[in-house]
Parts: sequence; structure tokens; C-alpha cells
Amino acid sequence: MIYDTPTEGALLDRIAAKAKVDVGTARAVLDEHGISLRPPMPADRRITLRRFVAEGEKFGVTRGKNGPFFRDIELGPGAWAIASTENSAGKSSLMWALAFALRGESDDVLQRPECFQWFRYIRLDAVVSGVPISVRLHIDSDGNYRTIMLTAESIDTLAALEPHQEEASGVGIVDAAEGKAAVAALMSRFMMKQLGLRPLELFAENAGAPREDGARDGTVQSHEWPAFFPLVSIMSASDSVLFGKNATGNIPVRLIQEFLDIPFVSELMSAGASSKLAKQQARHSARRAKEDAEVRAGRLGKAEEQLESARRRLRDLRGNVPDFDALRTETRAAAYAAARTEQRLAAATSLHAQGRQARIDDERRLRELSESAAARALFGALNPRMCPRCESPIDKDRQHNEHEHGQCAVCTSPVTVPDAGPEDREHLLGALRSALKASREAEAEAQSALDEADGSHRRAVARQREAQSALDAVLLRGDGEAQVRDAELEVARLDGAAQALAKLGYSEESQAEDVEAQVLAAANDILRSTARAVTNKLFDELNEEIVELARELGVANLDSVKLDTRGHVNPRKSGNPATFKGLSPGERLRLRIAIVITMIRVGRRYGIRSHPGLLLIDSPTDVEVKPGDVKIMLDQLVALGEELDGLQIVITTGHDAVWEAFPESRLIVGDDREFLF
Amino acid sequence: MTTGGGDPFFDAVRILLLIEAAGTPVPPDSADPGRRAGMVAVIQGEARLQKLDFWLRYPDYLAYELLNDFDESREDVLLDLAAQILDSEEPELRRISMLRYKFGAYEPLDMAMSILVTEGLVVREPLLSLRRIQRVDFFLTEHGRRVATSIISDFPVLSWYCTRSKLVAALAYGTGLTGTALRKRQYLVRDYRGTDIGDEIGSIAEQARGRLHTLRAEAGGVRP
Repeated sequence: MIYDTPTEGALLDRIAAKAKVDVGTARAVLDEHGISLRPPMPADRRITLRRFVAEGEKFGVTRGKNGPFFRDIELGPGAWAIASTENSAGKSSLMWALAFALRGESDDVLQRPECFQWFRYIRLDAVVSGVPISVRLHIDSDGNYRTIMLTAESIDTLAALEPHQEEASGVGIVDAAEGKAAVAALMSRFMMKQLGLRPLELFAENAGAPREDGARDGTVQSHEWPAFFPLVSIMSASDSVLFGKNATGNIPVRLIQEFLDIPFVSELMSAGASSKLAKQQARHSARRAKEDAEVRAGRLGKAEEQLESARRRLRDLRGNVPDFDALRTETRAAAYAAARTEQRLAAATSLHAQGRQARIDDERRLRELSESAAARALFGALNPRMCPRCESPIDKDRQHNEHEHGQCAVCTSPVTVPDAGPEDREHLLGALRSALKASREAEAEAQSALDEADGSHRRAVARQREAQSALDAVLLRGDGEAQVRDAELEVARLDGAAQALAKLGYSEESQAEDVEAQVLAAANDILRSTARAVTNKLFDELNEEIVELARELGVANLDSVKLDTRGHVNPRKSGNPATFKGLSPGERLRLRIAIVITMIRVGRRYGIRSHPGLLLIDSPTDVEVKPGDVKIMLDQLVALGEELDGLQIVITTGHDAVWEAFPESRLIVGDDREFLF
Repeated sequence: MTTGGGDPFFDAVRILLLIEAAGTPVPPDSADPGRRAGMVAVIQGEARLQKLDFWLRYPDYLAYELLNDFDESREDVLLDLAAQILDSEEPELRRISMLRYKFGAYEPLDMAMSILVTEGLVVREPLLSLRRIQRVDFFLTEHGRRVATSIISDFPVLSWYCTRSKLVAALAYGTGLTGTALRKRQYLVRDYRGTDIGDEIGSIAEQARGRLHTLRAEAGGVRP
């Protein structure tokens, strides 16, 4: 391990924790997206060009000569210059051809209008991370082309082949392709694999797509070999971007990081891109779900309405469910009470009847005695006139004797005073009157008691009737408990239906997509911060050396640079902050060279060859104003070529300083240092 | 003797008032026109007298008969008279019990009659047929009428019998004044007929009151 990075397990734990999922889920998502948390083994990237052949027919030029051309150039480590004293002498065209073969597709920056018209055959023999190859590009007059890649045990075998020879002992065909895309793919495939590079994946928004939740729809674009090329082919084309044509997806920094073997660079890019894609899918799912939900809203609303109605019915039923036991108990109690009052009433009635009978008896006795007394008084005042036996008249003598001598006028017996005389009768009448008064009072009391008992009984009977009616009514209504049970079932059924409908808006699919997006976003964050920590540490180490080298390359008054992970150089010149864009084109080129060279140097210090060690620099001197500065730079490049093992630099220049700076053996020139072909 | 061990003097007063109220004019004796001089009214046959006495002694039976008449004639006065009796306690207070004999209610009147005869208020006249007494007629004397008339003023406690005797007589006249007719009528009442011979005839007051209630309802509510 070159850099101090967390272990795979620790990273996974952090990602899972951040995404709020379990470790297994996090691992599954990362595996699915090919994101490895194991830092890659240090790469050993080398590209060394050995032989370059360019063939074609030049026409339409007014200076130089028209006609077929053939250049066969031997190359090796160190600095090389394609040089000419003339402008438009074919320097850049040769560089274009070299880059075309290496890159697998034409580089717009280097391509001139005549390139495809003039060049018919390009051959580049090179060693790529230990594998000798010979790339043969055949271009027809219409600009269509095909390629064939050969390999052999050694670069010497390949380099020894005749310019067009494809078959030889120990020489094999690696691959072949025809057409622009196929040729590019062939080269990219080989270079990526051989250099141990992994595609840089970027999520690119579609320009015309509508904004949704702050993001546009887009696709994941996989950037392969051509994207890495700007760190090999250093151009002065862009004003503001450190490397490459644009800064999309922070590619310049990613390239630096990748060529510094900063761990997880491609992983975090994959995670970032996949995360955006997952979010997009989640977004789409959510939208679909929302649309579906809206379609279902009608059904759901209906179900909820029915549910509410069923709940109301259940509440009512529960509220009205009769308490049978209570009603039965009440009815029984009322019946018992009525029975008791009935008994009391019967007793009171009986007592009253007895009292009344007693009073009637007393009254009758009093009546009988009174009437008897009256009758006796009536007859006592009369004189007997007839014999009750024969009905013969009783004479006056007898009547006289009864009055005077107490001798019965009828039978002449002595008249005795009756037992019960008028006084006794009066006494008896008095007693009877008292008795009657008492019995009347007793009857009145019995009557009151009877009235009270009667009232009580009537009330008790009324209560009993009410209780019985209530019970009867409830019994008549049917089985209330069964109705409640049915209503409960109905509520449960509708509740389930409503929940099922509601849940459809949050399908497991979209939840899974959410989880996926969460894990990928978490991985992106964690890996980014891990990479950033290593990068910042390395950048600190690079900054000073970059400034030193840039000064050596001729950037005047540069105080400091501070590379950051956003791809900014943050230069300071003459004590003031400056911008990369604000630098002169020559200063920008020097700075780029300084950065790449420093990267290579620092890498070597850590024992890694993460940059392939090949630099193609087109016309570094075209942008120069001061001739002295150019000499300094060219001297430095030659010196670097000698200094750094395995470094190969190929420049094009029309500057006079080149003749002094570069040894004769490293100059690629035409006749009389004029036209290259 | 009354069944309740009643006073013969009281029985005598009651019979006197009944003969006074229900007696018919004395038919002249063509054979001996002077024989019935001083006699002002007559009730022919003891059976008739017994039946009339029954109505006097049982106000509930009397009321029941009045209701029967009302049922036939729809004369409101009959319902009112019945109601006066049944709405009061007369049936309980005024009842003087009788026993049922072979031909209905009966009580020997010998003692009471002797008293009336002795005092010259009533004269008995047996109607002989082949040396057997076929019937005894009871004649009210002038003296008897005077005494009967004086009772209302002299003994108010007995005046109820004067009034009631007149009502009984009115009822008897309405149905024909033969003993057999009266007896038949009395037999119409179930409880009387159902009473065993020799038993005291019971009250039908509640039965009569029930019937009164029904008839009143039919007549359109309770009458004042």
C-alpha cells in the first residue's frame, strides 16, 4: 500500500452507516455497480515509442514539393523534437499522425484539413507496459480507415519488420478493426487494459431535458482511453482548463488523481454517476408511482369513503348495542317488584275487606238494634185488641187489669219487666255506636293502606311493562352482536383495501431504487473524501516542485501554486493571487508540463509509474514572445528526458532555439531542415 | 223468627209497611157486605207476601230485577233506581237473610203476624177448601193504616222500609201480582236458584254491580 487508506471493511461500514442500510445491502449494491473498495495494486504504466512510419501523397501546396512522401523515424527514450525552419512544413501533421495511431482516433486539435487527404499509411511501433505492438493504420482516399495491431516477443522483432510487412516469424496479430468506431474501440480496449486504467464514468445531463427535483435526466457516459490522452498529449488549446478540452465532471483532477494512483478515483466516479442514475430512476419511479397513484386516487378515495361510512356504522352499532343482561335483569327485578307489591296489595285488600266487613257488621248490628228498639217502642205504645190465637176482641176489663194490676190482657198472666229494658238498650246502642266509630276508623286506615299499596302496585306494574317492552323491542330488532361483528369485518376489509391501494404509491421497486441511490451516494461521498484526503496530501507535496519546475521552464515571477481537488491551480505571481486563465498561453503550457513532470517525479519517488512517461507537446514555442524563455524551456525538456528514466518527450517546434537545445540525433527534420515531407 | 235471630216486633213493623204499600183494595163480600168493614187493603196469600218480603230484604236482588226491567223497557228511571241501590252499601247493610225452601225464599211469619193481629193492625182470613186451608189473605185495618202512616214521622229510623216497600210494590205491579209470577221471576236469578234448599240465600251484589257497569257503558257512560 502506497498511500494510507482505510481498509475495505472500514469503508463498507462507513458507507452502510451513511446510507442507513445494513452492510450486506451496501455490499450488494456496490458489487452490482462494479465498485470495489479494495485499493488497486500500483500500476506500472509505460509507453515508449520506437518506430514511426508515415506514408502518403502530398498535393496542392505552393511551397515545398507535391507528390508521394515516406517518413520512417526511429524513436527512443528522451526528448525528441520534430523541427523545421519553415512554417507549414508538416510538423503538426506528423504529430497528428503519431497521436492518431496512439490514440485510435483523430485528435481535432492536431488535425489539419489536408491530413486525411495526404496520409495513406501510419505505422507506430511501441512498447506499452511491456507489450510490444505495431499499430498499422490504412487510410483510403475517402478518409475511411482500418487498423491492424501486431505484436511479437520483442519490440526489436516488430521494429525490424519492413514498413508494410505484417507477417513474420514471431509476429502475431493482436486485433484488427475497420471503421472509425471500431478502430477507436480496439485501441481504447488495448490501452485501458495494458495501462490498467478503468473507465471514468460521468453522468451527463441531457441538455434539453426538463428539470425535475433540481436535476435533469441524463445518461452515464463512460470515458476511456481518449479521455486520458490529454495527460500524454499536452496541448495549448484551452484557455482555462488544466487538462483536456473541458472540465466536465472534474475530469482534469480525476486524470491527475488517476495518474497519481490516488485510490478509488474511478470507483468514486462510478459511484457518483451510478448514484445520479439511480436517483434518476428513483425519480422516474416516483413520477410513475405518482401518476399511478393519481389514477388510483379515485378508487382509493372511494374505498376511503366507504371505509369512513363503515366505521360510522360500526360506531353507531357499538353505541346502540343493547345490554341484554342488564335489560333482562331489569325486567326480572321489575317483575319481582310487581309481584311483591301485588302481594302487599292482596294483603291490604284483604285487610281492607275485613275492616269493611267489620264495619258493615257493626253498622248492621246498630241498625238492627235501632230498628228493633223503634219497633218495640211502637208496639209498646199500643193496646192489645185481639187474641193472637182466635182473634177474638179483648174486652176493656182485661185491658184495665193489665194497666192497673199488671195482669196480661191476653192470657191474664202477671206482666214482668222485660230483661232488656229501654235503659239497657240505650247502653247497648251506645256501645255499638262506639264500636262502629272504631271500625269506621279502622276501615279508613285500611283504605289508606290499600290506596297506597294499589298505587305502589300500579307503578311497579308500569315499570315492569316498560322493562318488558324495552327487552321485547331489543329482541325484536334481532341479533345486535352479530350486526356489530359483521360491521367489524366490513371495516377490516375496506381498511385492507384502502391500505393496499395507498401502498401501491410506494412500491418496493422504488424503495429499492431509493436504497440503491442512497448507497451509491454514500459510497460517492466516502470514497471522495478518502480520495480527497490522499490527493490533498500529495498535492501539498507536488505544489512546491511544480512551482520550482515551472520557474525552470520559464514561468517568471511565480510565487506559488496550490492545486486543489476542484482542478484549480491557484497561482500567485509577484505576490498577488492570479488565475490559470489569467496566465499567458506560454505560462499555461509550462505549468501543464511542470505538473505532469512533477507527477511523474513524485510517483517515481513513491516507487510507482502511474504516468506512462510519454509526453507529446505540439508547438510549445508558437505561443512564445521572448526567444530566451524558449531556449530555457527546450533545455529543460532535453534535460528532463535525460534525467528521468523512461521519460519520452516528443515536441514539435519551428523555433530556432531548438537547433541549439536538441542534439542532432534527437531532431526529426526534413531536407535542409525545411519541409518534413 | 228471622234467620238472624231477629226481633219479631221489627218483623211485624216490616210486614205491616209491606201490606200497606203492596195491598190491593179490599173486594166487597157479596154474601156478607158488612163483614169486611174497617179493612182497607189486602194481600192475598202468604206466598205473595213472602216473595215481596224477599225483595225488601235483599236490595241486590231488587236492583238486579230493576236492571232486568231496564233491559226490556230501557226506562232510565229503572237504571237510576238500580244504581242508587248498587252504588250504596245497601246490599251489605240492609240485607236480612232468608233461607231457601222448596218453593223459594221463605220465612214463617206467624210470630210477627200474631203481633199485628193482637194489636188490631192486620186481620187474617183463611180461605178454606174441603176443611183444608187453601190460602190465607192478609187484610190491613184502618187502624193498621194509621199506625203505618205514623211510622214515617214518629220513627224516622224505620222510614226506609216505607220507601222501599213502595218500590217493591211498584216492581211487583209491573210484573203481575201473582205469587207464582213473582216466584218465577225470582227464579230467573241464577244464584237464588242455585242455593240449596234450607241454605241461606247469598248476596248477588257484585254480580248486580257488574251488570250495572255493563249497562251503564252501553247506555253511554256513567250516569250521575
